[in-house]
Amino acid sequence: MITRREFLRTSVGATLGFWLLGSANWAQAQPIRVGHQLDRTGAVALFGKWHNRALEAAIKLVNERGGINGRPVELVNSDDAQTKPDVGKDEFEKLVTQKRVDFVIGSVFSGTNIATAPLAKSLKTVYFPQGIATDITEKFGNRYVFKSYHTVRAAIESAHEWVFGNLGKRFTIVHSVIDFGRSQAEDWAAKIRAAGGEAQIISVPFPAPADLFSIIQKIDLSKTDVLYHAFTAVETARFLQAAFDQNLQARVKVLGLIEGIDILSTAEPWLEGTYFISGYPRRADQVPEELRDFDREYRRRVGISAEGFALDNPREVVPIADLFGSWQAIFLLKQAAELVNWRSKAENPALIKALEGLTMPASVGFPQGAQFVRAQDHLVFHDHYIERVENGQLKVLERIPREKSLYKTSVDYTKEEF
Amino acid sequence: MEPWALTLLNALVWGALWALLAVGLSLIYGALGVLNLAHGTFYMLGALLSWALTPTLGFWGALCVAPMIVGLIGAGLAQPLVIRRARAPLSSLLIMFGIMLILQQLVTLSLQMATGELRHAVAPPLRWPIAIGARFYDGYRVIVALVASAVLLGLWALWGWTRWGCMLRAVRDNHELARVVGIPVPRVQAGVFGLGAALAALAGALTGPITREVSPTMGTEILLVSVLITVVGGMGSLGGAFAVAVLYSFLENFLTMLADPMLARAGALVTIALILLIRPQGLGGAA
Repeated sequence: MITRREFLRTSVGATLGFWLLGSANWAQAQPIRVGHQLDRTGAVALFGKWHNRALEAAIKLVNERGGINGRPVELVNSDDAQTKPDVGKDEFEKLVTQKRVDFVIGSVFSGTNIATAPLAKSLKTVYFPQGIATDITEKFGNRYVFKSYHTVRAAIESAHEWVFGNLGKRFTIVHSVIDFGRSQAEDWAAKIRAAGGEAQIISVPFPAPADLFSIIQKIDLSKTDVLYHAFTAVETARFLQAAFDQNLQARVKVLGLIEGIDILSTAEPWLEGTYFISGYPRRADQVPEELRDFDREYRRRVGISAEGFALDNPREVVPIADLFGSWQAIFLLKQAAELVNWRSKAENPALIKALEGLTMPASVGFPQGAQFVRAQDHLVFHDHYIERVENGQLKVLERIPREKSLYKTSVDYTKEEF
Repeated sequence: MEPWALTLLNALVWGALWALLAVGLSLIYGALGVLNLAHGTFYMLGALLSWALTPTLGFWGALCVAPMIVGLIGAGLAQPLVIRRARAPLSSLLIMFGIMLILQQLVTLSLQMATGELRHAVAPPLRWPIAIGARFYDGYRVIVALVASAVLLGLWALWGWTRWGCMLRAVRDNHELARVVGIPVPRVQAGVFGLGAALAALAGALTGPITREVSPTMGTEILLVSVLITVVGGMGSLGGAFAVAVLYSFLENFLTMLADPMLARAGALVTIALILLIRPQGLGGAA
């Protein structure tokens, strides 16, 4: 016979137990919220759209594999960051304070990344900017900022020996004044001068003048082996067309980062014979043999054809190399969060320590090949490629191992307080 | 030497384009006494319409049709919105500003809905490289200069030697007297507004293959320069607008060879503005 006191004790205990158990399950079922600082309009809108698709695909894959620490992952898009630093920064703040996201994948616009970095630290939110200006991980980075894809300096460090040996050391660098263009001009100029070469630099306002003819006139061909361009996609097209109108492609070697043409078709006469430094081949048949299984899966999941076009629109070029930053950020998070059994933002210091120095083997999550995060500047190092447009298609001339892109960093974020 | 020769050629081409824009603006001011702030919008409409019609009509067909459509739009807007209020400068300025904003927004929305993009690449209608030393000059630009010059010459003939030109000058000089002698002033004013809009549209349609892209904001970039050229040329003076347009183009092109493009543009604008210190009424304005 159960007494009234025993009944009460058992009932209260059971209720409390169920409540605690229930809330623990509820807490476990809470999704991890990943914000995307998304540029829907402006100069990088086309990149923004594809980064968003890559994030959706990466999160779907992670969820199919059990989420992160057993919790599902959810993508939360910002309103339009507009390719404007101030607007992007506000959108980041809204993502963190109003939409309560745990992490943020950043804009592709370097100016927005630089404006947002201090806020990431003050709001103690891990931020993965997708622009590639050097200063994102040098002057303006901090302990909460991680670059899941190369920066301009890493790309230049990786490629400069090949470029000087094969194309020449006398450069004319024509660049947009935005951070993306300016860092390329500064970093190349430093490398060229250190190697005893010559660098003429021509700065072009952003947006570029309607007619680039007069800019082309400023290029002194008698002092130029390599014409280096550093613009965003639409302006790259306009610049190279203007150069082609004056027969420059036939007289000098033309070089740029793949990010400058990442959404453009290469079947254009003004791109024929030009060189690019890339983080990944656009065409599947140029991908190294040992990475092809991962590459096939990556393309299928994001919706990219073997030729680098959108599967649902065969005329749309996908910025395939550029997308890795967003795609990989999700797998970086998964790997680090599971290492430290991350549960909430209170455990970000442990997560950040796990990310610092993390190594990642080649896999579907890292289809570019094995990589590592340098602890001091939070930059991911991966292989690079020199590609050339031949018969309207990008062809890999050289694969450069990731160790070649290791430059000496001027920062050490591991010494910063959280 | 080649870069300087090419720059000279390019200054002539852009001189003709700026003249088309400034003469149109000056024509409207002369006949209506209104500063057409929507001029850049008509330029943009010409470029976008030409781009949109090219697949159907071909580039040269679109080049003829787009300015006519924009001219008709301009004439249609002029009668109810501009002419009735032309004597109140402030309200007419505000109306022009309103027309500019509304048209620009309409184009932006339509383009976004139809294509999902606001900036569109324009392919050159022909490849005709003219060799100058080891470099080339794009033959299309020479055609642009020839077309613009032919239109300006035609306008000059119309202005000086036709009955319609005589009516235009009469309306410009004195509305009341023109009305008294039987000139249909509102109809002439609507026609002039349409003609000015068509000239701006022609400049836009010709410029698309040079700048290689069209967008709803392209008109904003040319508005300030066009207005300044018109003011320095002497409001309502076609000859003054033409001369200052060519001068501005030479200054901008040659200064860009020597300095940063933004500084070059600012330097060219400041230099032509200095003319107002010597002739406050503008180069061709009546004292």
